[in-house]
Amino acid sequence: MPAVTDLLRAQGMAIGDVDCLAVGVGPGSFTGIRVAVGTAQGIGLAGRTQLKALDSMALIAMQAGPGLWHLALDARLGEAYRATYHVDDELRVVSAPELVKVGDLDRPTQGALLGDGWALNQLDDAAPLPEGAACEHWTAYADARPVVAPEALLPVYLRDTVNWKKRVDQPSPLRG
Amino acid sequence: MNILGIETSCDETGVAVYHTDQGLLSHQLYTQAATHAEYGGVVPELASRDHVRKLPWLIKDALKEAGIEAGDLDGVAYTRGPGLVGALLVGISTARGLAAGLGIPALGVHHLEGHLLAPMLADNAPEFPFVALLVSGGHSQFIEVLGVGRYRLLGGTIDDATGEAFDKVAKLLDLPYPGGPHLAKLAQQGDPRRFKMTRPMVDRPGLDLSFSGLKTQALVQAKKLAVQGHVRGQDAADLAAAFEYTVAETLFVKCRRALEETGLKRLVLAGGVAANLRLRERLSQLDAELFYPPLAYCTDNGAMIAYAGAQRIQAGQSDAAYPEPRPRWPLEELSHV
Repeated sequence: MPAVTDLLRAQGMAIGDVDCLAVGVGPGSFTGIRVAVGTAQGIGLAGRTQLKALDSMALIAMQAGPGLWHLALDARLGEAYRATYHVDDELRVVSAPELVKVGDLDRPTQGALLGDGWALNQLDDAAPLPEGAACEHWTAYADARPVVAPEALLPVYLRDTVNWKKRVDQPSPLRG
Repeated sequence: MNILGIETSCDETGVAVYHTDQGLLSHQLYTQAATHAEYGGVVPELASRDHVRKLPWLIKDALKEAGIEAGDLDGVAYTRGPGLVGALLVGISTARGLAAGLGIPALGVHHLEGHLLAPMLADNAPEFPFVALLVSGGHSQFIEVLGVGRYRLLGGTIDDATGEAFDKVAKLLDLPYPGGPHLAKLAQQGDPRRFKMTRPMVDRPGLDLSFSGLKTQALVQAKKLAVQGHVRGQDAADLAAAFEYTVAETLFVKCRRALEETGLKRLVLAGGVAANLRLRERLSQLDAELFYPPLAYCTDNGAMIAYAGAQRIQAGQSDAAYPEPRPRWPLEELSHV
């Protein structure tokens, strides 16, 4: 949030002056995405700013520049988020983000590997995640996305299980 | 001033609008009990997910119920801590986004200050100073309240919170989650004197509490009564009654001591366990005026955050910088109003 307000202030703007806010909604760090989504929901509820949801992995591919990108991100617990994008003048989603076991990360026949997920399966020649916020053609991608209401802007987690024992599986102290 | 209050510190999503002259204008609450029931306790990741999914709906509903629009708000108060860090972050983010979008002040409120001031939302509100017994699933403390932001911790639990002990004993008796209210209901059919339990720490000076040993006493008794791993029927009701009775007796002794030590004559019972009727009944026998919040504001809620935030925002306070959550946050650090 301070990063956003500082950026706007440098342009002589405030958040209320922003007409449309495009937000990376995941997949990625659950808490990080929730901070972005929650903040955007709040800004949207103020009523002056439209919201759009962007695929966080597509943004990374566009950041990497033109090419056919196979992106894998470490999702912890022996899993990775995997997606493929073709980036040139516009973005084409070849395969949308999905959650896969790291053992299932196989080298595709064409295109380049991108992200920190590949090394989890001993594929060590992947391009590192691009740094900075510069991103080719992202405004065209954002323009094509629909406007969503604040309550419809939601994180994309891909993983819906938690590492907690259900009550029926918990040992009873009254047995044994 | 219209102040929006947002509470997301644990497993309740609460939003309310408080007007500094007209009082509480709206109150919306989503309880996540069903989400956590199958785990028998709060799963932090699932709590955070529910908050981010429900919060914008509740904000819209709270504004609508108050008959105002977002642009009519003069400030946004939110729970900054203590609580689950991931859950707090949802409320902080949304609150700060909304306040920034509207160009109005935002203020991080201490969750326990919300509970301490919740009785002010009742028709019969206490005057300062008073002694507060704050008992919930996460907290058990005696606090001397001299005014808004003027708190002195008199004592507190050295292990389990009161509500936590209720929930754990309820779990032992196979009661649904959250167990406290279910245990209280079962206890109504039980004989509190069939099983004798020792009141923890009543023979020691001071105002500290401990519920871990009492929980163990319940476990030992439950093991004796268990048939194929379950305590059922009258046995379960009697054990529930004995536990609840012992908690109430213990808190009665400690409350009497807190009033004697401070010389005060007003006692405020706050927090989720303040909804317990046996405890209310027992504490009403003290030589003091007893206050508690309306039932809806005993458990976590947005109204108490809106109220506490309104007192501070009205006095000119607001976040200086972008605040981090305070999962742990001593009450004494708060500024006076």
